[in-house]
Amino acid sequence: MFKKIKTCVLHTVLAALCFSAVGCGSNEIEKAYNYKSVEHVDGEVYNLSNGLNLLAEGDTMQLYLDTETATIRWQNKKSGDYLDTRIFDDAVSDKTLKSDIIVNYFTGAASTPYETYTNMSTYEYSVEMDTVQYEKMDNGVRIVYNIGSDAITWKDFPSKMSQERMETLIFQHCTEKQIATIKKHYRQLGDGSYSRTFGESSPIAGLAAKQLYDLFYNVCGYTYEELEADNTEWDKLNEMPARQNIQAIIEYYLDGDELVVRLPIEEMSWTEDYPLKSFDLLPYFLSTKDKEDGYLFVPDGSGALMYLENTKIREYQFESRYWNGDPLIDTGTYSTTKATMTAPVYGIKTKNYAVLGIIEDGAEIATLKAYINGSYNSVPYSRVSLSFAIREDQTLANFVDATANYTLKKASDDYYADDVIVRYSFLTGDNADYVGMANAYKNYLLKNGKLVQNETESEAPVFVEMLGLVDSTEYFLGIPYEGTTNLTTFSQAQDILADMNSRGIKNIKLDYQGAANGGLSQRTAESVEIASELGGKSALNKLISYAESIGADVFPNFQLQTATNSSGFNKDKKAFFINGQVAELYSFEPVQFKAETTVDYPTYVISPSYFKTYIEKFNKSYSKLGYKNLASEDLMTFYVPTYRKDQNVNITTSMTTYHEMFNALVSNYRLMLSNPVSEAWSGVTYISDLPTSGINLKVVDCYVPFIQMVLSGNVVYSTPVMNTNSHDMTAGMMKAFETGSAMKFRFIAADTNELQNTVADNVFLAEYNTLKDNVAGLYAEYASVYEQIQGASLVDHEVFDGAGELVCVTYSNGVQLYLNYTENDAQVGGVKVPAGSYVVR
Amino acid sequence: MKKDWKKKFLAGLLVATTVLSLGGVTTASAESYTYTIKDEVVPAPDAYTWERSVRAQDLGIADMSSLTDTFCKDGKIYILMNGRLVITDEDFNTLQVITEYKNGGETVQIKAPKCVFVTDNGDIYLTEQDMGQIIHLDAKGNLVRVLGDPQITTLDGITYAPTKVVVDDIGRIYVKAKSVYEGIIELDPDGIFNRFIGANNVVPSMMDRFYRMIATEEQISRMALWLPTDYSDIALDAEGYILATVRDLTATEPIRKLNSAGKDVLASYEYIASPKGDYASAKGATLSNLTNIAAAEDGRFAALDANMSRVFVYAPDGILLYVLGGSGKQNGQLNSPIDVAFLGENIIVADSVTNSIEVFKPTEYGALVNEALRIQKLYDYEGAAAYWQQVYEINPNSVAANMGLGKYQLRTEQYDAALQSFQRTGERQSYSAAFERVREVWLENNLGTVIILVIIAVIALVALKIVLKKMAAKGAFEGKKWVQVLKDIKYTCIDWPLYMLSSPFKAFDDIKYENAGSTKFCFVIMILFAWAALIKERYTGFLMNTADIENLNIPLILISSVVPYILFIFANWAIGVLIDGKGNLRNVFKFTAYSLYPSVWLTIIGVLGSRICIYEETGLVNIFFGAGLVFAFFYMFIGIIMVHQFTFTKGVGDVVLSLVAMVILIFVIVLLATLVSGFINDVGTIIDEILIYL
Repeated sequence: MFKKIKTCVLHTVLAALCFSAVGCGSNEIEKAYNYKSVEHVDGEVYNLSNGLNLLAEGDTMQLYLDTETATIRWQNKKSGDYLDTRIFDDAVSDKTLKSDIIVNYFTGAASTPYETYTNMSTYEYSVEMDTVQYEKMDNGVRIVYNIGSDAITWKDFPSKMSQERMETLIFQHCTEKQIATIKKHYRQLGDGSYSRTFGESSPIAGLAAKQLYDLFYNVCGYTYEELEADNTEWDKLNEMPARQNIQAIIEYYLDGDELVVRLPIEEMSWTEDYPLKSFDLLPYFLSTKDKEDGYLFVPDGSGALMYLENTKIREYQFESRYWNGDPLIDTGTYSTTKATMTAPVYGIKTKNYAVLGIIEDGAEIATLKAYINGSYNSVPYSRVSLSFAIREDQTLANFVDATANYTLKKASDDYYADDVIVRYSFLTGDNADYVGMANAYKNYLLKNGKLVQNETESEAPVFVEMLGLVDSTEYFLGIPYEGTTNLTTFSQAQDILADMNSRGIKNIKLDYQGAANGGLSQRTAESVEIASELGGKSALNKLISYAESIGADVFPNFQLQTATNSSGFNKDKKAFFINGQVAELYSFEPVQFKAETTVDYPTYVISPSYFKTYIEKFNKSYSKLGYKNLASEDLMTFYVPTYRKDQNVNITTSMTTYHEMFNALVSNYRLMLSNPVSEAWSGVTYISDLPTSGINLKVVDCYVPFIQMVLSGNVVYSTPVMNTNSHDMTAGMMKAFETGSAMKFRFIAADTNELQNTVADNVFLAEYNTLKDNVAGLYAEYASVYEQIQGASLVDHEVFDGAGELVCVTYSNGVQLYLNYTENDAQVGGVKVPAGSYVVR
Repeated sequence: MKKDWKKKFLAGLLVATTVLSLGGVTTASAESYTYTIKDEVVPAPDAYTWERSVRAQDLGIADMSSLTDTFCKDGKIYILMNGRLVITDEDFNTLQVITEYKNGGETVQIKAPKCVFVTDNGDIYLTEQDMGQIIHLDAKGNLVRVLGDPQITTLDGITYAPTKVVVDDIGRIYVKAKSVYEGIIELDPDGIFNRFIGANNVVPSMMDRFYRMIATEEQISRMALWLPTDYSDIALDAEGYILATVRDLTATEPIRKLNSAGKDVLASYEYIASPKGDYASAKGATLSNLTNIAAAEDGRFAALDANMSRVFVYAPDGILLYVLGGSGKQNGQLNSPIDVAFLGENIIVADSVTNSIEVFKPTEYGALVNEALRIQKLYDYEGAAAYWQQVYEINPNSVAANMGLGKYQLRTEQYDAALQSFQRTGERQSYSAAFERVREVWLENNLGTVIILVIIAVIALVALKIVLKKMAAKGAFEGKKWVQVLKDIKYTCIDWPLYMLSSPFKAFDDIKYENAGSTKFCFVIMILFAWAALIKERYTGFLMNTADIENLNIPLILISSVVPYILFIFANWAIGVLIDGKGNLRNVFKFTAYSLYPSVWLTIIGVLGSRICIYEETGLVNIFFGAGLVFAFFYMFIGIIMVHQFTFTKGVGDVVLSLVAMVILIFVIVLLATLVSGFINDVGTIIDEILIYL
């Protein structure tokens, strides 16, 4: 409704904001838009001329504003290369090119279970309508878009009118013909009153709406006050017209040479009837029409490239959430397209330059989209862009009938109200590639304390995952009960360590999974119970002290953000779906990809409202054991809110809790986490399972060790488990060299048969006895190379064949490795690399 | 990538996680699986990984959007699309593009060919479906002949539209034509119609026949025609058999291997599902829509499922080896596959959404399976077993590996190992053969011990009896409470039931008039009876047990064992009341329970027997299971007569009426249960909806 829009009343002169200031109440502008002359807070008057205005200047970059079109230009002083927030290309009709923000908003109340939504672009609905305001700020500008449509809807007309009011207010101003027109839309009822014939289900539109509007408001002088009076009389106040009107605020400023884009969501406002769902930010800022010599960079897995020169326009284009997204949304739908993106970055490389975008704030709600030339509405631009989900929604049900599919959806009550900040770095020369992007990101992290230098390993580290206890159904005289099967007991683990040690394998990081609280289907860990089936506390202590004696480290592994059901794990401790039910993380059967909603050990997410207590209890219990190491397979791999009615916790609050508890654990233990999100990088001692590739979407051309180049030299990390289904693990070891990773193996002491009918039935080739010779040989080879690169970090990476099967990596001490994953010998840079092998130089 | 096992319970959250096969650099994306003989779907290692996608520009052509077929022969790949046939070498380097041929003086463009087949000497056959022609070209692309409509008299009124063609090594041409349901058209080498082969006979069910009988003509006209099923694709395997897939979503055997007489010669195992893509039960219908089939030189064959975009690869005897593909957006997943072919060790799949040819290469696991099969085909079972052993180490669920290993182990007298292997393949005959030897060896080794143990046991029993007698004589047991308890138990559990068995008329009379027998013990019998059913289900030896003993539905077993008798008790009592029977509910319960008592023991004896018998002796063991029932019915009938004081004929009448009453009871119970569960469901749904709206 009109009154609910938090419109800032506007004054002739802007009291401009410092970019850090919050609240637009202080900032009064007159109700006339399109200011060319603005005043800074220090009183200095800036005259923005038509055309390009220089807003700020760094050492190498300049920031311009074109007031005609509200376009921001970020230009390199030396080369003259620039990026525009809008692209004006007569050959393309798609208006998204000309927009820096596209807002998606619900067209009905968001929380009713049949939401639909639509979108408006800043260009079409603000720039073209001349409703843009500028406010000067230090090194930049703040742009306020009053995005809106003034389309007439059925709500602009009274639902009913009494005979008297209709005659006095309307008919008496009209000709006979006009009255006839009105009567087409208003039927007289028995009591003499007039009732509108159109409405929500049969809306009025186009010419008819305009004609009627003209009659009512212009010819007859009807007003919205009268409308309110009519609606009050007939108790239809909820039908007051509401214009889709969203005030979007975006700030552009230079920080040094870097461009920072900030959207203060809290200051933005929208009509309550049309709440904001999400927005696309700068859809064509990182885009190019070039088809050669460049790529889009997406941080899928280890980092992936999509070449500009590409014909894969029929393939699914890249679209994925950062930080694993919100796992409570659409959990029942199988997807092959969700990438694991732990670092909130993206980028583009063209012939002359590269740009890296870093999401400083809002990565938890961000989706990355990448389209190659011609794939999106046939627009001839390759582009990579972000969108941000302000309000999450969930599919409640799908219906199919003869003509169509219907989806019933519901949005959350809560919405994201924090800032969204994206920082762009312009990279030129030698830095204009993914290695340069990795360096830029690394420097950014180091500068902000999000990455710290850990000690390096003097001897070649090797990560070993062992599986302890697993649930299984056992029978006593034909009567089944929930029993367990030992996959590796603590003393067997000790034997394996001893055997590995005797084979010359040193510096083992043992990630012990399923060692406590019920094993692999781990129950809640509020009170830590080391599995007595595996030998109990004393045997584990013995294993740990033995490990110390041979220089190995034991990390008992716990799920800390999820757990399977157990007594006392009631719904107050679990996160909830938007549909009001307890959230459960489903697995999918592999044949029809249906969610397995009835499993023996369903997995629940610990509610963020309980998470603090949960970790505190865990910490108290675990610290009593006196161990200094802790591993977790799910800690800091995702953030969840909870959507429980009246007890919801939004993502911003829950992130604070996650970080607080993570830091509490960091201060107590040496942590080993399984491919955690970037926010955890500064706290971990070891990272396991760092991907060496990604989900392998067809549209992705090549995987590069981007994340590893960022982490290298700061954190010790391992590859994913290498012994998945092949005895020959040479290629896996080469990937470890290419990425500067430690190798990782998974062992069990028991026979592989024992895994059947358990949750670990998809583990193959993990029996230590069948692998020990292979692993020892592989480690010896790895160690001999490690000697040469010990203490050095990855500094360069070069792909020779486009697919990443023929590469060269350079370590900081100058050692170069040429790796050839293909089946043919290759000659690279004067080095002959045999098929499926590598050369150290 | 995450740990793969974790997917099991974190899949919802980490859907992106896929199994990394670091054996190669490329990663497989689909979750591989296989079927056990218990129809369970279990994860399996990836046998093939995606190697590359071949697109139009790789072939040096502008567009591949009308791709229809591929064929591999002698290191050449034939890629067929509208207007052209592209011939490449194994690495997809284009060797030749055929777009037209000369017919007489006239140049004819290739239009919209559907299928390409290449003979051993390199001759190329194309089907021009819409023109009703099969084009025969030589290896260079020169026209040899055009085979037109063979003018089959039985096909009047049908436009001849050949879609698929294969040519065997003596030149006979087999054609699958559109709308021809008589089978595959066999033409002689000159292109003259010989006959139809492999016709699918329609077997209407009794129900169908019945409906037809009572239906009006109008109804019949609206019913679907009894058309024989249609083949969707044909292929020629290395031994000259014709492999065919059936276009029928309800077929239980959608893949046929036809010999020259048109007979399906695909080996069938009793307990291993015949090749049928995905299925819910081994004997049931396919869940797949098999649209394409290809044969490898080594006898393997692959079928393409258009439903879920998967390729199923089978051993020559029809055992499922591995599954690859799957619908999805990742490399190695397929969107709309239209054709599969073997390219040496590799498998290629043509996809009509991405307009590409996807190339898959074997992983170590896949290569081991293929090598084992190759060697096995040369009758080198020992050599094959070494590979099967490695396959088994990676994937103990592999039916093919267990079959190969089992046969080898049986041959080399590793009977214990053979037992395990055959258990996993469900091969009971072979299992029995191995078990017979195991049993013999055991007896040879342990006969002495057994005899000594038996003698010791007998002596101990005799001694115990003597000692007890002496102690009793001394009066050691007098006045002791526990002695009395033991005696009571012996009387209740052994003496009285034995009395009942030997003189049932008298015993049941006693039940009626002297309240003989223990009601409490009758409850115990019912519990024991249910438990015995459970024991039978779970512990009956492998030879006689086809249940999925790891996933028993315990409540169902318990209920289905005792509920019929409980129903009978109430039904019989109720009928008794109606037709003037003298027995009350307690009497009926007692005689029923006692009648079931022998069955408890016989079942346990049968279970023990089933674990030591061989295949030929299973009939003997079944006697034990059957005898329990026979005894039960026999004694129950006597019980009815005695307790209700019926004559024989009235007794028979009572039985019949009781059965009717049981049916009514079941009906009422089911009705109630349906109503209640429906009500609960509705209330649940309403609550859910309210919660959503709140």
